[in-house]
Amino acid sequence: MPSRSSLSSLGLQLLTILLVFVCWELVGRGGFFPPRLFPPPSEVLPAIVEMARSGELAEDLLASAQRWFAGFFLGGCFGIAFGVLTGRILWLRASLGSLLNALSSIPKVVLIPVAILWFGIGETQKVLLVAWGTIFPIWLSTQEGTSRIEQEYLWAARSLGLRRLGLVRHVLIPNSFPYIATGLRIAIANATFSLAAAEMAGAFSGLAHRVFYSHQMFQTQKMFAGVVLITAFSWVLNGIFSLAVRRIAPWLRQEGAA
Amino acid sequence: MTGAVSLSSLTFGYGSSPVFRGLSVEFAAGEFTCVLGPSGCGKSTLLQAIGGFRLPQAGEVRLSGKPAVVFQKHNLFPWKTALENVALGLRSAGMAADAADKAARESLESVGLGDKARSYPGELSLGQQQRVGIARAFSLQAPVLLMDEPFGALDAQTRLRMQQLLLGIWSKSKPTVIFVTHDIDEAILLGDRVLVLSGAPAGICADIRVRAERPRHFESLALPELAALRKKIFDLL
Repeated sequence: MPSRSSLSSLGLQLLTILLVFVCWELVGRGGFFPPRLFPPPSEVLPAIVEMARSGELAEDLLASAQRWFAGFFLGGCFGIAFGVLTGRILWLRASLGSLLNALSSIPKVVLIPVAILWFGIGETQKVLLVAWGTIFPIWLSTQEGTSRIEQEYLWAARSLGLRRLGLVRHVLIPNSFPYIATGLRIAIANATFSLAAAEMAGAFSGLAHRVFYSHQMFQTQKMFAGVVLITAFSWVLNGIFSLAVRRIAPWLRQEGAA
Repeated sequence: MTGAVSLSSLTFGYGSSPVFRGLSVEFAAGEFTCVLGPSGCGKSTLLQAIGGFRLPQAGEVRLSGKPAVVFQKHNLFPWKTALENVALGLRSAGMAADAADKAARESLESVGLGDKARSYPGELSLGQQQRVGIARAFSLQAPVLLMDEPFGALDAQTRLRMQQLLLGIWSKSKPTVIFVTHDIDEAILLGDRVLVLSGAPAGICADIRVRAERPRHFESLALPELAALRKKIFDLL
């Protein structure tokens, strides 16, 4: 059940968005810019409706969402698993630390040509690029969280007979949850960025592909429609994430964290 | 025999300075021993060595089975409810989930927290948290119970109630208890035996039997033998 305060905060957010649209409309109609280059929302929204009616919207949304979730899931699983390992095993952290930093500082877009070379422009390449954008913030934050744990928790776990997977599941991961949540939030933004970049570099469907393609066709309304849709897409993902955190980690509520 | 704990020439140190050197002590099964000493004298370290959490540089700890532990803080997992905290050990010992939950609930009821089963530690007072910790430790039915200043952070009144509660539960199953404290009254009220630790490296400077009758209460401290004992220990420290 969403609480009263979270409902009113959602209301405020929607109000802000409405205000942005009103300003955009006023500027668009004010004659400051050529309308072909800066269409107001009253022309962009019909473009979205048209995309929805033709089925284009559903197709693009589905394609993007599939790539996004598959990549995020893959990157998330590996990120958490690697993070637990390097967080708890000192020599692994010491040996992989600089490699990890080097890999995560590669600008994500320069890997797109490499990925296309190896995997073509199919789904695999896009899912892997999203996973690549996801894995590092999650890995680093999980490592940070699992390496900082009160001795007593580990001792108590041992006296309760927890070891290996039980220890990871019942103690290490929940203890790192605030860290992991921060990593996941960064990963959400990264995943969307990588997805958009990959779709613009070569795709036949997807929200970012639609932006790129409409730009090539000089369909400005549709191009802006794509931008609005991608923005809405990440906004919804962030919302889902916040709700999920509260559901998964109820013990953090009274501490005011996450 | 189960429950007996034996330390033979135990040496432990951080870096080059030893915390204790060549320490040998026997703890009889079913006995309640309090380890008393000033802060920083190494009594917690000793307890951690007994629990196998710190490996000694030399010497040996003999102890049958896995000891249950209660610490002063970071005892309970904040991400698990009171019930889950207690049931976790039972489940990992191989008990079926519903049997473990039932036993955990009974254990919580025995410390008067049956109604807090679904609360997270963050929603409980410090005293309640330590009661859950005690319920968890006793629910495992371990032959040895290690307690490291479990009531150190509590206010005086809660502390008295908790001591009473602990004695009540302990007298039913009588595990071997090794209880670390820096409070003289607490040590002589709870223990069958008080080990006074001091010096650097730490050594046992007194090994005292407490012969006062059980059950003991707060008022027992006024008994002449306990009053004399308290004076004696006070002079030692």
